[in-house]
Amino acid sequence: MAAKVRIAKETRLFTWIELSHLRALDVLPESFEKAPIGVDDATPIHDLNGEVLFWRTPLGGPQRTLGFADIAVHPALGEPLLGVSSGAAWNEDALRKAGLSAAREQGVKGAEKAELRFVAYSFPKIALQFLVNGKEAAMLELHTWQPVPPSTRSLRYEPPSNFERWSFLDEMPDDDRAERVERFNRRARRWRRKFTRAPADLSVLNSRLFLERVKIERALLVSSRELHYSTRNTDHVPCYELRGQETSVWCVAASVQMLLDFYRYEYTQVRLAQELGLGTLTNPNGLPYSRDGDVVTVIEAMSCNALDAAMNTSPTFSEFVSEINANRPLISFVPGHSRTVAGYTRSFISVIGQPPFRGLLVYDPWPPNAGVITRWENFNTSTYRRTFTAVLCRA
Amino acid sequence: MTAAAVSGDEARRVAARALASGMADDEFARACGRLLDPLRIHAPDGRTAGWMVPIELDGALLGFVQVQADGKFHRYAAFQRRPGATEGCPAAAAWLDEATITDRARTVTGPSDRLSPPVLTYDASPDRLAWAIRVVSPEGKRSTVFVAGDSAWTSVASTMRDGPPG
Repeated sequence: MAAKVRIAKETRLFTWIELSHLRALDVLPESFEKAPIGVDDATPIHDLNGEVLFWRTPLGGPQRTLGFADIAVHPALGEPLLGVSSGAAWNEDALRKAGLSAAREQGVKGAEKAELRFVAYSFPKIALQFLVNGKEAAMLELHTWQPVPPSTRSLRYEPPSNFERWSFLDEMPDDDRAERVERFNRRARRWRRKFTRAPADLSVLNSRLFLERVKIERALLVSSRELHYSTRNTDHVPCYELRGQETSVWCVAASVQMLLDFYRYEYTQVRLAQELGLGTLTNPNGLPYSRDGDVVTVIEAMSCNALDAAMNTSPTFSEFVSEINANRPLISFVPGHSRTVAGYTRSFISVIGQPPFRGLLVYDPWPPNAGVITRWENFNTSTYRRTFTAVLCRA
Repeated sequence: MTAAAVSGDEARRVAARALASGMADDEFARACGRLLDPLRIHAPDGRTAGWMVPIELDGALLGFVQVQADGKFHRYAAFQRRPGATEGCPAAAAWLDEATITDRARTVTGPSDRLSPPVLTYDASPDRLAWAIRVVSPEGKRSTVFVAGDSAWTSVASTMRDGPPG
């Protein structure tokens, strides 16, 4: 067997930085703090053309497997950190043994003496390549151990089929590659600048040490905003208040009250309920589906048409973002309930297998006479039925 | 086929992770609050609709993490009006103690009505958590009283999942 290739010194540093960074941002949970980073057990993953793309690095010790991280070495991947897989183990030796056993069963000639190489045969899908005297004797997909068929590709940019080998590097469009290389190098330059002296121990994840060294704020990979007095990003003070619904069926009235209060149109909830046709405190009723549009009418009427209100029947996260960025609250209808939204947060990075977190800051008038401030509501788990927005008319 | 609901222990782990990661974004609750035992949220048809994981400090309910039946974090709802301010928070007993909840329900029932033990459910939407208490009057008339914190009311509409906002 060929001598094990060792991960380069700078890649070790980047691995430590990127993982400690994720932990500092709380993207990785507490269990990853001080976790061993298996840089000495990392596996180089090659492109089909033979270049090393990234190192798959086990996380956690032998007693406690936490997952693995993929750390890019080829700048065409665009970022030093490709992803972190939580929970799944990466055991190179076990995979080599299993692959060799499968190759024997399939009668691959020279398998015993072959050089074994992990190859991203269809990025990010990985196979084990058996090289005999520098030539491929077989390529078996990891875990299924199905032979990956030889390439029959002709056009460079033709989309690959489900089970086909293709080179991630050779098939990348030139302009895309240039942009990715620049992005990778920009981040690498930043880390080199911040870490002219590497921490003594790069084999243990340490977010506290990372934060001490780089003095960055948590906001680097998270974007958040809540309503303020203006859209200026300096001298900000949050500016929104919660109103509890005054009966069990007045969530719409309370929501309209919160929105109008933001614009300094101060009405009692009883008055707004009356305008919305929701009865009285002693004999209240909810807003029927057929009268959703009344919310628009009432907002405009109660602001003497200074507010131009609108209803959206297919709300999206980007609508919440653009309205909050414009410093405007929204009323949000979910099935059976109405609340207002006064902020958002979104993560730009995700753990493999999970979508990035998107959250809404919800001022919820429920429970009656109290309400709660929800920070955050998981946008990915909710159904949004309607939004109502209001734009201040300008002279 | 509906997947089985996660256990209370798993819901508690989800809540702890949400607090640690900032998805439940409350520095004060993270530093000072105490996660209590998860409460099963029942859908009107009796199935598990999720879990409410309360966070308490010195007898006050700071807020709660709501976890879906499939174990996904749904939301963190805070009773605090300002970070670290507990004066507006309800007493934990108002949401968690069955006797206190039943006493609250009695404020809207007749003195001779029979009340069933409270069940944590929701009124119209899973975001409108409330305790439901079945009530039978001496004449045999049945009704449902909901209790949410310091509020109690008799159900006036069906608790259908996709009803109009109320």
